[in-house]
Amino acid sequence: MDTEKALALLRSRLYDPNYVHATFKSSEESNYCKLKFLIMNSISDSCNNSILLLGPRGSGKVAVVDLVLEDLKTQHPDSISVIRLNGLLHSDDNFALKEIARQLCLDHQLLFSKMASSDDNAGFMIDMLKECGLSHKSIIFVLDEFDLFAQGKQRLLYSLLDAMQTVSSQAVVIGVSCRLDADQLLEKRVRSRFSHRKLLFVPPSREDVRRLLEHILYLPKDIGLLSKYVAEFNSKIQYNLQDILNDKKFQEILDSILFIDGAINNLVQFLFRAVSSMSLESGLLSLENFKGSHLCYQRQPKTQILEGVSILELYILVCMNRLECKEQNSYNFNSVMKEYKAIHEAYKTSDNYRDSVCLRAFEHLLERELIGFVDNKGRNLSIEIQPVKLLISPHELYLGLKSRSSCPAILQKLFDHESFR
Amino acid sequence: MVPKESNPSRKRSSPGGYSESPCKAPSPGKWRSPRRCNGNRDEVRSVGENGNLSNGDLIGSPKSPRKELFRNSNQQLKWNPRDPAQMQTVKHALHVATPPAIVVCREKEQKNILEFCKSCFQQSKAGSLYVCGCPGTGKTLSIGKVKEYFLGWSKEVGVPSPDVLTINCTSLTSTSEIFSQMLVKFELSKGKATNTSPLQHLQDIFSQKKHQSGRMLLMIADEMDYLITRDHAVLHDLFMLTTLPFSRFILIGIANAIDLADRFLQKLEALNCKPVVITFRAYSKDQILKILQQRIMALGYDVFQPAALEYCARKVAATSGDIRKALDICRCAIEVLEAELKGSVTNKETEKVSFHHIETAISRSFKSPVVDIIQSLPQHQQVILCSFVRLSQHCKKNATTLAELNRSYSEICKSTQIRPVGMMDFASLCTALNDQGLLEIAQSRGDKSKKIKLKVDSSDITFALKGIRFFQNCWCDD
Repeated sequence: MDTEKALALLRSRLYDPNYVHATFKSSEESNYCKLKFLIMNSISDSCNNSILLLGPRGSGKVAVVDLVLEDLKTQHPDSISVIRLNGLLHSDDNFALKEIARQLCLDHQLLFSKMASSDDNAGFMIDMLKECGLSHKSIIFVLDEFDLFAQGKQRLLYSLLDAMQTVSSQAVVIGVSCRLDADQLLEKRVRSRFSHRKLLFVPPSREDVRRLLEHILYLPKDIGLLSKYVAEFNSKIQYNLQDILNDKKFQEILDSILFIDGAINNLVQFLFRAVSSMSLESGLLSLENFKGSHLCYQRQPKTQILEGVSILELYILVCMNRLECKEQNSYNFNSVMKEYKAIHEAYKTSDNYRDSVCLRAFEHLLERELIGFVDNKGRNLSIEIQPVKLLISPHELYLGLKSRSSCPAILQKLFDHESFR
Repeated sequence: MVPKESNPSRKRSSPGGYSESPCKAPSPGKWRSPRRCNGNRDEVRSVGENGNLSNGDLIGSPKSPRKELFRNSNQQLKWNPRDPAQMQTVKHALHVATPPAIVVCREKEQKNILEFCKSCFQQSKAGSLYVCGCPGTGKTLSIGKVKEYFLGWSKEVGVPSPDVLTINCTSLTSTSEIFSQMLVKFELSKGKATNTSPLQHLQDIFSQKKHQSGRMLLMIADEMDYLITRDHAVLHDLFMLTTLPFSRFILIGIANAIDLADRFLQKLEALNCKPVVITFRAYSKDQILKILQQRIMALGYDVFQPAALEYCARKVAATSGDIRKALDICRCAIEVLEAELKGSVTNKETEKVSFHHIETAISRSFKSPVVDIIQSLPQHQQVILCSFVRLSQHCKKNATTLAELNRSYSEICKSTQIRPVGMMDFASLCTALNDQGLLEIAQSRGDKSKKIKLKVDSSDITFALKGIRFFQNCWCDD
């Protein structure tokens, strides 16, 4: 079926970071172009360089590095050798040297010996750098989670950057980190050898977001689908998509998502949900898909749990909230019961239950983790005297009370009385 | 680390074509290696002069910079930024890895070190020297030169040249390995009993006359602070080796800390053999300017406007006095110029690097990206930072908990009429800010009682957000 193929195509596009980030390949000011320019210059000038890519998680740093390296490999197949290290795995110097030696051996079809000591590995790395320098091959080190390499004595960073201070080696060090002050973490010797180039990955602007959406959501004409369907999809999508993209509601949805997390990754996940809910009969995207995806984002699990909680349990929660507002630092079941009785005496409600029933309700709340013990040490004490605390914020409680149509008005009044909004 | 420098004898003997490296390289046809500095310069000159390419045969012997300067004043080579070969040579000349022919501005220090070595040598006694200074002040480079002068001098004088060991202490896996490396290099391991440690063996050798071979030993230990252990034993023993009666061993240690000798080698002071301390001060503005000019003069054409170079030197001298930074800024400025020329189609043939390019390069390296980052954060994260600033202004303390921050955040949302996010989203926003290094969330067991600190200056936050109308109401209350 054509619609299924179209759906599969859109989904595979969304989960291919190379495709997503290739949107910005053509613009001059994009980070892709800047990085490519720098690496190409280092290769053609045979000089050493180092650069740091900084940005929040999910903004596409590693994706851009991958794109650039792929392009360079097709243009200069023999002059690049790439070594990838990750700060989570290789922050220990010995492991890092071993991994570098292993990858170098792999690239140059040499035999790797697991028994080599770290001295041997270090010597091997320096020799390979010299060799590659003489034969005009550049070695590109990609250090992911760069800030984790800057822990401890920073020996690996020092030896890498020091090796780049000689004319005989030709290497580029690309550090990728989400900590914006990653270069302040470097020791002063290492920082002196590191050239202070930084590329910042900022969340895309509104126009860029629009370009991204169009790039992903338009179907190409030549994917083996019925060309009529494609034409219809695109033209309807074109009107449809433009309609959707221009629709105010859609803008609001997009805004509310981007106001929380502007990274491209987040946007892609939102689009994936929307695309997956595309109706297979009409085969076209509509605003409802996006709205549905947005609702998934706004899920408040604790408020949803409150919908299934009994009225007595709601009373208990409100009592605990009152105790907290009265600045009582620690309270237990008995104090909650006292508060409960006080309310009933004051307001003469009909929901007065015995202690044993309330205890059952209390245990229910504990199981659902809407309330919890303050510390786990008092297992020997009975439930009634262990201090407890609320695991739900007052705002969520308020929303839960509002959403319950069967909630007695008294509870709302008690709540409002706390002058909480 | 000894910087590799141009080895004239090797280059002169390599056959004809300077356009290819000795190893076969898969480089495209006319691509010239920028490493053969001398040959390349001659080639470039021949392009400018005659218009036809000479095939890189060496035109005479490699010239010293001064001779070339003299020669060039007759020809006035023009700087054409659109010529890729010229660009390449300029960038190569300004690269940190390219060693200069002469080391300027360190003559006095080099003389002192050389005199020390010579006097030790002539009196056949041991000595220790400690060189200290900030990174990028030319210590390793100068000592490398001194080593060569010293070897040359020993040849002239006719004495057997000393054994030299240069070791970078970061490459040692354990600190006591330095002694075994010494034994290996100086070939002193003959007659070693198998169960003595290398240190003991060295101490034995230096305390008895009969083991001497008559040669002096010179050891250069770079980044010596890596030898510092908790009980300071290794460093101390190393320096003590020079105090033994029959040791003929000159030790030169290089590190950054000025007071290393005072802090770790107090016993030496008691024995009255404290090492001589030579401090390499951070470069002043004039020194940086001189070094930059020397490198550019060697090229033969004027790349920079004088005001631009001076500005760069002044800025770097004011912050750190680190020459690597100055060279980096100059290279960055050239790249800015290159990018600018790529875009424009003006026909100006000589475009020198101006003040404006240097300023752009300096702002790129010196400016902290904090303000840009804060301005590009999503709105809710900006509100969180804002609420932190407000809290700290009201309560006058730097740390807060998640719950308090949430309260402050909801207040601001209320006043600016946006919907606050739920607790879970709030916690994940704070985690995202923690990942980026703007906040610091301490590890603690309770979810709500984690201590949060602000890692950015609150004035940076106010500056970054003041342009945005949305946040103006927040500041009005304070």
